[in-house]
Amino acid sequence: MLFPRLIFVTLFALLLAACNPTPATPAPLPDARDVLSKAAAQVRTSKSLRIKLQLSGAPVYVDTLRAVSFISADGAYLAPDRVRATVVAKILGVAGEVEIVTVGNDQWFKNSILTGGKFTKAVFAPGFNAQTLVTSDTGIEAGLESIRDLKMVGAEKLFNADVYHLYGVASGKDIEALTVGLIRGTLVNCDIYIDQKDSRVVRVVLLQPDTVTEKEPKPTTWLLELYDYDVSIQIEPPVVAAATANGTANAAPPATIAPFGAPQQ
Amino acid sequence: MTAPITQAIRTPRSASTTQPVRTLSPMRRRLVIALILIPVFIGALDLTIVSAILPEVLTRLNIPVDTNLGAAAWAVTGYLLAYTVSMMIMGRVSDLIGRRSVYLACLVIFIVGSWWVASSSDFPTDFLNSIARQILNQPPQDLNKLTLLSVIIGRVIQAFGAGAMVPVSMALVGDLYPPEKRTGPIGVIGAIDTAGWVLGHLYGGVAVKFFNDNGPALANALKPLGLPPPNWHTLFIINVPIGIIAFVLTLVALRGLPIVRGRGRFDVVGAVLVSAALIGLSLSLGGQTDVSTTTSLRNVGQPVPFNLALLLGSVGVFVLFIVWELRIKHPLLELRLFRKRNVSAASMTNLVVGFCLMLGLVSVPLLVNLRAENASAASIANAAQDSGILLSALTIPMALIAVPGGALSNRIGYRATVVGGLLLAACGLFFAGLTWSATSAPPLMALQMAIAGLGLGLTISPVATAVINDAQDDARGVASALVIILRLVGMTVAIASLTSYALARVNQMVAEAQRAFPTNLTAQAAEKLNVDAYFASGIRAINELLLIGAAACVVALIPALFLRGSAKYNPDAILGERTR
Repeated sequence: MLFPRLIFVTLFALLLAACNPTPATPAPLPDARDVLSKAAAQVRTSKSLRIKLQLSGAPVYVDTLRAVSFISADGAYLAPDRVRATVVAKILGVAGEVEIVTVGNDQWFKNSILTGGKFTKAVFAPGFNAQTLVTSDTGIEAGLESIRDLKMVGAEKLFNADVYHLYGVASGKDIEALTVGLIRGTLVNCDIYIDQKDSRVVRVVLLQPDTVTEKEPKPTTWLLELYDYDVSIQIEPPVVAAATANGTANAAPPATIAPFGAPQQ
Repeated sequence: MTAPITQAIRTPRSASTTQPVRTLSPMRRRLVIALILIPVFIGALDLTIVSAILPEVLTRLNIPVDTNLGAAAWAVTGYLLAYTVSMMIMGRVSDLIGRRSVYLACLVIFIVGSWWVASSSDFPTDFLNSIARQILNQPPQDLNKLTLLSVIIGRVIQAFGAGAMVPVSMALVGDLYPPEKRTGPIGVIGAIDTAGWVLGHLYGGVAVKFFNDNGPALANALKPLGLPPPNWHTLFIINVPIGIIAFVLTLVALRGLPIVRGRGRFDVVGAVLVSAALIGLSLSLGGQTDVSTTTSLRNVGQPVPFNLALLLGSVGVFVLFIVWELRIKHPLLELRLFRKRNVSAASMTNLVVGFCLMLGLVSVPLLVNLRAENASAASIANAAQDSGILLSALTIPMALIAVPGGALSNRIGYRATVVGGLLLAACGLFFAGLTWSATSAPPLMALQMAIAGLGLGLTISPVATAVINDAQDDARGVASALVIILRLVGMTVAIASLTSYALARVNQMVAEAQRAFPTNLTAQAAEKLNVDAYFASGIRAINELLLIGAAACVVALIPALFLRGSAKYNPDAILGERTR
């Protein structure tokens, strides 16, 4: 009884093979520079977007005393000049969280220790203006365009998205806009992932091989993710209440990131 | 010469087995017990290890402590809950399919959980990120927080394996030894389990401090071997080779072991209901409050995570569980077991023993820290060490006396041993309650704690043996789980009630003292009086807690007096044989 079954299975397999069309020739991949330029321009022209920047490997110190190191930032940008972000940094070895709102040149921030968990109008990042993130000469677009030796790695899947994977190198100075001015060093390996569907940058991985030391065996790696392009958001200055009689400020309502049309606080 | 052991071996699933088949030599039985103790100890150690290293874990994961401590506490709570639930479920599964396979499966689960926690920054985080992004269509994730989630998931996996190992081991003793010889091995298991969770906190703290203090030297020493510098991950990865070695040795040692297979099938509904009730009870009573955090009356002053609605819901689910168990043919927990006098009496006694034990465990650090808070910075620095030494005075005698306690109960019976132990514990706690003050000498405090520890330790073996000996072959796993779960419930109730009580009493006494303050005080003088009132009230509250502990030991005498017989002479079992 085995023999007829074998014949049947073989015939069926041959039939399937015959019916299977010749694999389509893969579409030629577009030019890497064109893809990147188009994607970079989308960052400049977007009305809003969300940015998540995370650091792993060797630490990056924000200050010259090497007391404060950057961990991550999760923020929203609203054109032309508004940002709200939660920044995590390690101060003397202990991680802490700071919420920041900037509107033009004005800044507010709150932290459980520094401001007692209430928003205070004070400069947290001197000289920072959200508009610089997207200006054509200093912003993310310029940073992406400065990547050299660019090549197309291929078309890939990144989670559920079909993306183009590009690779190039840059100096830290040229791409500092991608890391809010924190990256240093002369050699940065850049992997850029651009959504095939809408030509938007979705992920940039910046790896600094020269940060490896005996003490820090893993290189500094920045993971920048851009998402929610042009999704309607609101970023309002936090309302800082006047100080009460005993000298303490009332709790201020937080700045909001809410869909357009939602009631404002 | 050791009497031959009656053993049952592979039988059809439908039949409960009691017929003697063959004998293991006394040496082989001791070897089996020795080998199963290794994972029992490591599992118990990991129950409390994380409370010591949690701040280190958060720091290394770059997670802000101030905004994430609640989430991080699930690394402790998740383990405790999974540990408790696993006991009940796997205890029953071992009754149905045999101890050997369940024990080894739980050991594998524990090893996998340990590996998962140790490597949480790598594969587990990537895996969770893929699920979030690819399946749940979530936006980009905070990878550090995903790593913390990986740690919590790994801890739950670990606990699900570790929790079952204690009751399955105790049930295994029931399979291996005749009733009159069970007290010794059960005492050893109880002692090792107690030693594990008592030492876990100390081990974690000391190990992490050692790694941090000697980081470069250790890194240099390990580099030629191709090993990374040790850190908190090391405490979990070390479980993997030890677990694998224990697995192989246990696999060999348990070959040819009698497989006692119970009747019926697994009660899924009952398992879900009792798990929900236990989790709800634990959370509603503040079970997520780790012992190590309840070390200062200032912490006690924090809001108690007590949730009345959840508590009532848990009671409701528990009632449903009872109703369900009474209605079905093959329940998870055979409630008729409680008709046996020794089972009911031992269960109630163990519940109160858990309560008294937790009172002792919490009162010591409370007093030591209160004295330190009122003194100098150097005292505060030494407080953790002083607490550790005084707690050892309670827990080490407790673990050491467990085995002789079993032997003693063989000679003088369950009741006399347990009653004697409870009276001893009551004396220790009573005199501590009367004498502890701001100036109490540590040796005197240690002596009183040692007396309490000896008393509580005396109850471990007879209480567990009384339950296990009264359970049928196919219910021994569940019965063993019951013994430990009730002690954990007693401990949870103690934490919640003591937190509420101490807070209320300190507030009340400070308010009374403030009413007696003279008027027109300067701010400095008022502050001094307030500090003194807080200190005196704190000491009095601790005295009262200890006296409550002593009273609870006396209350536990009531069920203990209903215990009868010994491992050598069990009237219930004999009666059962006659009526069979």
